[in-house]
Amino acid sequence: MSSTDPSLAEELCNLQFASGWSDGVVTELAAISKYVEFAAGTIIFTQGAENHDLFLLSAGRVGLDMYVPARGAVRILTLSRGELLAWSALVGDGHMTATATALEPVRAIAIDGARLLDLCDRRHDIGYRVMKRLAWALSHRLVATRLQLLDLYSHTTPHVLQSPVERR
Amino acid sequence: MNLSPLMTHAHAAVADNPWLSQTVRIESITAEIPEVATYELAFVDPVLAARYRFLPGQFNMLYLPGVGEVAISISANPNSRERWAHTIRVAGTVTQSLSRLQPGATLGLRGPYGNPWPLADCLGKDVILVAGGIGLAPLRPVIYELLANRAKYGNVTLLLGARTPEGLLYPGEYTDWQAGGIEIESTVDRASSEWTGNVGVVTLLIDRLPLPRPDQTVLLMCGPEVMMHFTVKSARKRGLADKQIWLSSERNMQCAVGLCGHCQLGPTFVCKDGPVFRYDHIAPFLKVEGL
Repeated sequence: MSSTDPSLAEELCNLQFASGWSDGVVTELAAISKYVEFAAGTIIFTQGAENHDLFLLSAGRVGLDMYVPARGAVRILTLSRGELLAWSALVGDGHMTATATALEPVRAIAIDGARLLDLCDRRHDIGYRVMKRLAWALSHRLVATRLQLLDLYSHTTPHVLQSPVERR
Repeated sequence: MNLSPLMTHAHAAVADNPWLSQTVRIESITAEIPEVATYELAFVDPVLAARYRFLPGQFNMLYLPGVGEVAISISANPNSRERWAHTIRVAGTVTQSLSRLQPGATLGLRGPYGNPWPLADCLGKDVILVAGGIGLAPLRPVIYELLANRAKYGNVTLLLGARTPEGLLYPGEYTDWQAGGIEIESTVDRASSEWTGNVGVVTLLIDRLPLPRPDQTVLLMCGPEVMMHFTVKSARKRGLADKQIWLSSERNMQCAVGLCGHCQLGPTFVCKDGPVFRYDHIAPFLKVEGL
């Protein structure tokens, strides 16, 4: 389900992805964007499927699942307002790396990935801003993923650290 | 504004001699999450029971004759009398032996020790509690105090992180805490697709948190040190200064009175100067390998 909304540019400014950008840049972005809404339980896209929209979440939470044979779907992350969804539409080949499900009613701004890339090619000043924000979002998610990998809450028996002298 | 009468009292150790253990009895044992249980304790001597007080964030030394002694934070309501609780994870020799005890068994106790959470600094301010795994245990007395005097504080938010949904501590109390005016957000590192809560690290919750007045916000945290390091980074981005951030540190505490040096962290002793520290006071020493 989709609709256009005159407040789209305003909402873009409220989201971290486009906050601080000039009216002109936001207007360009709004021209290739639209509001989309998903009811709770809706699968927004599935792992492996093609999707060409980049989503900026405006309201609601989305769960990202990856399918593991013999284990089924494993939830790897939940996203909420202000966060990016489906960045593979922009920096990948358009095939989604996870399945996205609306955990509650979700409202998002969908940006046409192909048109956004075209805009970035034509307007390098916009392209720089978009890629800078995208890189920030991805690095943020990478750090979070590393923390998950560390398995900080796993139960391991504490050991007494050796002093540097003992280690030599 | 004032804290509750209890919070204005200094802690009351049960013995004048800090080395002397007193006998306590296990009144009940509640299984919490795998290998974690809460032990409700009471002094055998009623005179000692009447004297005993603690402040949120303090710890006791629990002693098993022939086995050893271990520092465990107090996870009970500071307004409770005669009985209190320790939530203990099996992690070493003493806690393994403790896990084999049954209600009615006795053990030794010294305490309480350590500096408490800065509740006086939280009066009138928004409070964020960040707990990772069993790190919720030393923050639970704070929650009880905030609930008992809810009107004296601003927005109170509890951010919980755990390995799995089954690893969230004290889930049976969340409804009461929320009813008492505490917002709770939890997240886990891994879950099946049936889990409708959050998945991801607890620092993401800070990024998403509405912070209407960051300069009037105090953050108290306890959990794995790496989690706390990244919590600080997220809190700074949201406008909190280091002096508004407090943590409960865990080190190898043995004497509990700052003499043996086992828990030394830079110029401080965690048992005597902590376990609760203001972040800017301890930050330089948290990044030193081997400390």
